[in-house]
Amino acid sequence: MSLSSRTSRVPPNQRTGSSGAAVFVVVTTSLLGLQGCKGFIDVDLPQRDPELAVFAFASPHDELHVDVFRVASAGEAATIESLRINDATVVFSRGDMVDTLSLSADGGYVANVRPTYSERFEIRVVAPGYPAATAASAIPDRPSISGVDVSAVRNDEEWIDYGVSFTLDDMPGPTVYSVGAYTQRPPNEQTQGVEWTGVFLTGTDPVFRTELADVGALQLEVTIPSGSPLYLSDATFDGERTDLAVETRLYFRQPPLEARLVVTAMDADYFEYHKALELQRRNLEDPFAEPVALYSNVIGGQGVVAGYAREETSIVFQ
Amino acid sequence: MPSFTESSTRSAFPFRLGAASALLAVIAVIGSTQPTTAQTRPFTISGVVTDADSHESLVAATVQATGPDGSTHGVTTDRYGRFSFPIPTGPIQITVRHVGYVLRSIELTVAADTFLTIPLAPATLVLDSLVVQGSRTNDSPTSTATVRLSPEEIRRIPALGGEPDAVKAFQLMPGVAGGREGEAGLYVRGGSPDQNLVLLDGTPVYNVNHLVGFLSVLNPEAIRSVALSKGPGPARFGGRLSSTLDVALREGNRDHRQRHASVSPVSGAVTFDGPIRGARSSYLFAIRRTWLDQLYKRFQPPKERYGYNFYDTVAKLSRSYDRGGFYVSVYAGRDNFWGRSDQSLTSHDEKYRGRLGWGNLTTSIRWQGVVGSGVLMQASAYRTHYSTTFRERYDSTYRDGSISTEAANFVSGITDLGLTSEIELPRRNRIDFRAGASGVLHHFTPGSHTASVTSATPGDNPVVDETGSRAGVAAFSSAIFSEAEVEATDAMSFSVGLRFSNLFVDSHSWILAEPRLAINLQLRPSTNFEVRVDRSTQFVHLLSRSGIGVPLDLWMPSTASIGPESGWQYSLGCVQILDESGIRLNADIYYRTMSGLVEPLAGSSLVGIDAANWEQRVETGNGQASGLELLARRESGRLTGWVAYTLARSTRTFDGIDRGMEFPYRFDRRHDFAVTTTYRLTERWIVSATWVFATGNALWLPSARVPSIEDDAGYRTWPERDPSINAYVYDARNAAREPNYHRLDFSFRKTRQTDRGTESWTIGLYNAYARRNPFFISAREQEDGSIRYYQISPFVLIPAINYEFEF
Repeated sequence: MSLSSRTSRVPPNQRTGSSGAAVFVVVTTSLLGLQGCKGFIDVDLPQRDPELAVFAFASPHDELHVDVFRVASAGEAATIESLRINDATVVFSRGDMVDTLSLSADGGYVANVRPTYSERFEIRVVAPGYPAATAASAIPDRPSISGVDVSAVRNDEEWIDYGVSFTLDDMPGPTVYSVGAYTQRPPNEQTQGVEWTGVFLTGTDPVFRTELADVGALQLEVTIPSGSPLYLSDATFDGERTDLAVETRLYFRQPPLEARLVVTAMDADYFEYHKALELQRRNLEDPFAEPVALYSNVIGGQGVVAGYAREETSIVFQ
Repeated sequence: MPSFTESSTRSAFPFRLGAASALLAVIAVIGSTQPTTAQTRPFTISGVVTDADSHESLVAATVQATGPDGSTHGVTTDRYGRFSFPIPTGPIQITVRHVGYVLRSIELTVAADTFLTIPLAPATLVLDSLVVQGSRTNDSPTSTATVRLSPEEIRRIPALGGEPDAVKAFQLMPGVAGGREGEAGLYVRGGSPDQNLVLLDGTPVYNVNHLVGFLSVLNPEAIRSVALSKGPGPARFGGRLSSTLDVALREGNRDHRQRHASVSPVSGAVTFDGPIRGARSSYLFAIRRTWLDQLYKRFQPPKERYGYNFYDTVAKLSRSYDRGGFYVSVYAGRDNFWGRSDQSLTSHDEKYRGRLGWGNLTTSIRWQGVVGSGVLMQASAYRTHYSTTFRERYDSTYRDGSISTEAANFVSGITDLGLTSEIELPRRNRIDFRAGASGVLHHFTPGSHTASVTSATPGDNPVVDETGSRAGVAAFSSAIFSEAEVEATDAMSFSVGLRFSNLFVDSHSWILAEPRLAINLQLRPSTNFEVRVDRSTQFVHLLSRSGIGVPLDLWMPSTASIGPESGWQYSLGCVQILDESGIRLNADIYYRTMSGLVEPLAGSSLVGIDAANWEQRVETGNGQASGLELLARRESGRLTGWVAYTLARSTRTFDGIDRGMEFPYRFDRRHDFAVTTTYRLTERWIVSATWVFATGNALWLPSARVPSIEDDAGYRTWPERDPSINAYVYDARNAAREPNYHRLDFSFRKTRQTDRGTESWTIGLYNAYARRNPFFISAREQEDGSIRYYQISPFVLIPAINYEFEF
């Protein structure tokens, strides 16, 4: 099933007409509001003890970077910096190897070592006034891709549809992959050193985005935010070589464009955390949606410690 | 403790099925081979109890025969007003009672099987002496788990918007919660709304909500009686775990034509009924429609409009003959949201048309009669259909002459074709026996959706790109049951029943045995104890995104991997009738277990779920509920009404939620208290008031937040996702509570006779002291990233006015 059936020349976010969801919400709210009262209230929630929030996305490609924060109450006006914990002791352990991370200039903690493929690791954080937070995860094997091929079809005067196909040699066992494409941006003041921009992709057999396809009560279309990777499950090709394809649409004046096709294998913690985060964004202010708890694998705290391994190759859009 | 068997693939629990089969056979033997004693019970008397004015049959009337030796035999008329029992030879006295009617006694000597039509005269109020004539109540205690309300009682209860509502009236009974503020749902003994079997003249209705749940589809003018069985009830009822709401439609006045019209700020309704060529046939036609769309229309710009309307209609034809009759019923109702806009943009003109609708269409034909020696029989065929449809379409015309049309259709529904039959043998040797069978062909279309895009440029053929899924699922369910009610001694009786239910779907078959047992002890003439043990099952699952009756309900059948829901209910009840005042006291305790409950996965959308993938989008779990119910009710006299209290607990356990920890059900209410009173001031004036208090519903809200740190496989992307503190941490599921719920409603009703008919005005106030009860509470992100909790309380000081005219 294609993720996006829309071929209109009007991008969804520029549509100005009523949508079904809007009609429904407007009418319902109007009916409710005929004589109703609305306003903020205090809710008697259970008291929470102080907790640490630990975030680490580990891979063999980069130095391990760990962010440590305190958990803020829901109604607290806080900033990122006010939540950072700078006096924590962060310990990375992998087998017999133990490394204590150092505080870096950006407020995070950096390790002197890198995790390795197919290995479990643990991160333990201790800070005064908080219970210890511990989490373990594993780095998957490096994904293997080959046979990258790009085909192009001119859609109309303004757009060119590109198809990128490649072969993925899947590892045994359940794995979630993401597929993304990134182009390098020339450094300028606006980007402030950010090097990459995501390429809009659509693909086949998505699991994550389909689940996320919050078409609301009324919309049927599925769109993918530009720059976000696609998530794929290997449920249908576990342990086998499989051909995958993604599509993108670019303005004809944009090519030639060199991009990196990035295929990432991730552990379950990585996937579940990102999935919960995305669902929260979509559902928080929708009164008709079921809430989504933030995924956490941190014992004694919040946050996530997860592992991934990526493979990348260069593709050129002509 | 499931005893499911999947017969096509394995035969689990053979012993249980075997034992159940044996029990079914025993019940059948009890009912069919009981000896008769020619000297004492040679004849059977059967018949129907009717209203003397309209000749419509009366449900739940008590018919009692007293023999020359002082022995008594009594039965209650069934949902069609019928009764049948043996009588001794010689002169007997038959006494017939019904709430609101004059008690009637008949003396006769029977020399053969006899069929009687017994009309009862409606009770009248003698104001000068302040005496109410007629029977005070059905003064023998009956089942504690069944609650019955008459249309007149329903009409007297102060109602939201002045719209009398049968479903909302039952929310005031113990053991029944109403869900959210204003909602017309029923949450019976900790169950969910989909666990209620709603029968409209014996035909299942899948959605009972109008107006996103604020009003039920049951038009009180078309209703003859409504009874709610808390729990599965007798074995003749099946298919749902929590309750059966049995709605009997009126047959229409067989004596003279009647017209009834009513108007409220929400809707208008008219009802026509009367005889057709004599007193043997009658018709009933009722229609109701809202005015809301007409109001909205006047305040909207012509280029962007939206609106809402609903309607429901009931039509029924009845034809009786000496010992039975034929009945044809049709119900059709639908709600519609719609929107349209016409926009002119720089590059193109765009038209939008959208419509969201949901509704039921039911049709049934029923025959009932007395055959042989007082055997009551009935057979019916029905079709019921429920669907939600959403259609939207964008038409864009570009400045270069090209056009583009995008259309989306979404349909979710269920259609049943069913056949049922039942027989009820006349009481012999103090045993009532009933048996029956049913077969239903289901067709589910969950989440059928299509999307098409048509584009064309001048001179070219249009290009059509269509995607979607129209998958449906067919299933066949059947059931057989038998039940016997045995009066073991003068003080003790028991009812034993067994129901076998079967579902055949996608080459798999589920067979379940549902035993039902009730033991009744009558310690004194006015005191009854009842112990019940019931097992029930349901083969349909409802996936609903919210609990407010929003029409995105996806009904799914059980499959090989997602089994049926099943449950056990254990209850102990006591009824005491206070002779002096006629007050009826009920006390019940219950405990129930539920398994196979289905919930959508957290955060998943219902749109996108279809017949092919729904099993991967849900998780299954279990539930428990327990409670104490107290009820004091007075049904006759100047002051009528009831006081109800429920102490209850309802929890759920799902492996995928809170790591399998038990959590409160969303509509778990520890305390639920309701006082409903009606006082007849004068012949013309009635004043009614209702006060309700309930523990707030369970809530699941974020209580903390952390930075939303993301990772793109090591790539720092632009625009960079600047982490803000908007990843929300939730406590245990449903650990918080909404504020306690309470409100006071009252109404005044004036009725007077005019030259042309009877006129009634009802004026009232809903939530009279302006309590801000939440319809929903949600979290809202503030500019600084913090969140606050936001509440909407739509029903504060809602005036009600209703005008009725009957002629």
